[in-house]
Amino acid sequence: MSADDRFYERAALYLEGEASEADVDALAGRLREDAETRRVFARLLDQHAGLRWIHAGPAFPAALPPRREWKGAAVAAGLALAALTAWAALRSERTVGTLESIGPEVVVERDGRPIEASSPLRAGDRVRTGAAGAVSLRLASESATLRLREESSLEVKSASRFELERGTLVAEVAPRARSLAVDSPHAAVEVLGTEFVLAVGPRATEVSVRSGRVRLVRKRDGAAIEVAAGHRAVVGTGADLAAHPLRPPENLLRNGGFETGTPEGWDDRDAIYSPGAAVGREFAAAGGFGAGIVPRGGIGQKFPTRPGRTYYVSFRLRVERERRRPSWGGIRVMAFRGEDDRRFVQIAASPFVTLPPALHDGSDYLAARAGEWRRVRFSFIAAGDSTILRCSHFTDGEIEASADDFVVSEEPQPE
Amino acid sequence: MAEDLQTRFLRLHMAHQKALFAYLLGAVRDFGRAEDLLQQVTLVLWKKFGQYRETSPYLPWAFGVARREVAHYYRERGRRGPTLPLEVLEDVARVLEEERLPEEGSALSGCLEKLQPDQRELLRLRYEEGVSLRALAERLGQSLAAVNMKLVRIRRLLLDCTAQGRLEA
Repeated sequence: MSADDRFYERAALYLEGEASEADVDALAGRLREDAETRRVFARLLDQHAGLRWIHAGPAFPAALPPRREWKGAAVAAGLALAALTAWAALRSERTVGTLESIGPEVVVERDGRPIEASSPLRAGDRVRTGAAGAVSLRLASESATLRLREESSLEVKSASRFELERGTLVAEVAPRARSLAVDSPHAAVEVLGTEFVLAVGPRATEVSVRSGRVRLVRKRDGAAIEVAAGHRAVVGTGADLAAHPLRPPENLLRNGGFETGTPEGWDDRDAIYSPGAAVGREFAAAGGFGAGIVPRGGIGQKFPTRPGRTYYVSFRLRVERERRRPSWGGIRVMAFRGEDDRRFVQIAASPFVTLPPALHDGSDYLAARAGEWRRVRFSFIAAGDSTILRCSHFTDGEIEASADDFVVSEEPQPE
Repeated sequence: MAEDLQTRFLRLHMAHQKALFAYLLGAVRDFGRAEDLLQQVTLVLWKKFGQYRETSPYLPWAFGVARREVAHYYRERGRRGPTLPLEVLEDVARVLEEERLPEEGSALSGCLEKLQPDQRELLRLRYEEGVSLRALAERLGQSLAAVNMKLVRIRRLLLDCTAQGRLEA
C-alpha cells in the first residue's frame, strides 16, 4: 500500500471514528508537515459534510435572496426570522422515531399541543405517560428502543439525544449505535451499546446497566464515570459518584429455580397436553433442582402484570434426546394472557428448541446440542393484569428436556 | 439601505457555516453531535455578533467560538476515541476558507449520479440513515476494513469528479 493509500485509509477511519491512537498520531503528523495533505483532508472533510447535507438536508438554508430584493429593514428582519425558523424547522423535521405499543394514558405534545400519538416523532416533541401508561419509542435508525414506564416524561432533543425529565426509562441499544445520549436534570448518560434502566426522581437519577456500558456525567461539576454491565450508579444529593454491583432484578415467578425440590408455584395442569413435568436433581442447571419436560408435557405459572409494561423472560433449557425427530416445533416457553387461561391467547414466545440442525432458518427455531444448557431470553408486553408463562413440549416429535432458572422481571437480567 | 445586524449575521454565517460544520465533524466525527454543536455554535455566534469586527475575516473569529464550544463539549461528554488536536483541525479548516471549495460542493450532487447503484446505496445508508461503519460491516457481512476501503474508493472517485468534472474508474 502506498503512503497515499495509507493516508486515505487512515483519514476514512478517522472520519468514521474507528482510527487507532497510532493512526491519529500518524495522520496529525502528516497534516502538520504537508500543505498538500492538509488540502486533501480539507476536501475530504468538506465532502463528508456535503454528503451529509445532500442525504439528510442542510443544517441551515444555503443562501439569502439577492440584496436587490430586500426592500427595507422590516423585510430584512422578516427574512432573517424566516431563515432562522426555516433552519430550526429543517433540523426538527427529520423523523426521530415512532411510538409502538401505545398503552392508555400516553400523550405526545408538539409545540405545547397534543398530537396523534402514532405520528412520527421529531426533535422538540415530548412524550408523557400517566399512572397507567407505558409506551415504546423505536428510533428511525433502528439502533435503539426506549421503553417509557408510567408517570414519565421524555423530551426528544434530537435524533440521538433525549431528556428524561421524570420517571423511568428502559433502553435497549444496539452495540452498533454510534451516539445516543439520555439526559436527566441531574446527569448526562452516554450510551455505548447497552441495555440500561434510567430512573429520575426529584433529587437523584439512577442508572442500572444490564449489558454493555454507559458513561455517566454529573451535570453540576462534570465529574464522570463509566458504568459497566451488572452495575448501577446514582447521581444526586448525598450520593458518591461510584458504580456498585446491581442487585438481581426481582423474579416475579415463585420457585423459578425449583429449589424447593417440588413444583410448588407451578401448575402442571395443561389443557392441551397431558401433565408432564417432574422436579429432580438430574434436571438441575444450577442449585439443587430443575424440572424435566417429558413428551407432550409442560408446566406453567400465572403471575400479576401491569398492562402495557414490558417484562423480560429468561430460562435455561437442555435437550437430552429426541425420541422421535420432529418436523416442526420443539420445546417452547410462551406467555399467555392470564385472564382466561383456557383460551391460551399467546402474547409472545421463545424460539422452538430442538437438537441440531434447526428445523427452519430464522429466529423462530434454535438448535441446542444434546446435553448442553442454553440460556434463552425473550420479552413481552403484558396485555392484562396477569400473564401465564408456560414451558411446553410443542411439537409433532418426542423430545426429552430439562428446564431450570426461570426468571420473569421488569428489567432485563444482567448477562 | 444598510443591512441590519440580523441580516449581516445571516449573510456571513450562511456563507461560512459549511466550513464550520466540516470543522465540527472533524472534531466529534458524529453527525448528530456535530449538528447539535453547529446549532449551539450558531446561537453563540449570534449572541456575540455585536463583538465581531467586520474588518476582520469572519471564519477565524467563528472558529474561536467553535473551538471553545468543542472544548466545553469534550469536558461535559468526553471524547469518543482518539481525536486530532484542535489546532491541526483549524489549519485544515482554514483551507476550506482559502480554497475554492464551495464550487466543489455544488458539483457533488452531479458526481453522485455517476456512481454505481451499490455505491450510492452505501452512501445512502451511511449519510441518510446514519448507519455507522461498524454497523454497515455487520449488515453486509464484511470486515470493517473491507467496507472502509469501499468508502475510501467512493470518496476518492468523488474527489476526482468534483475537482475535474469527470469520473475516472
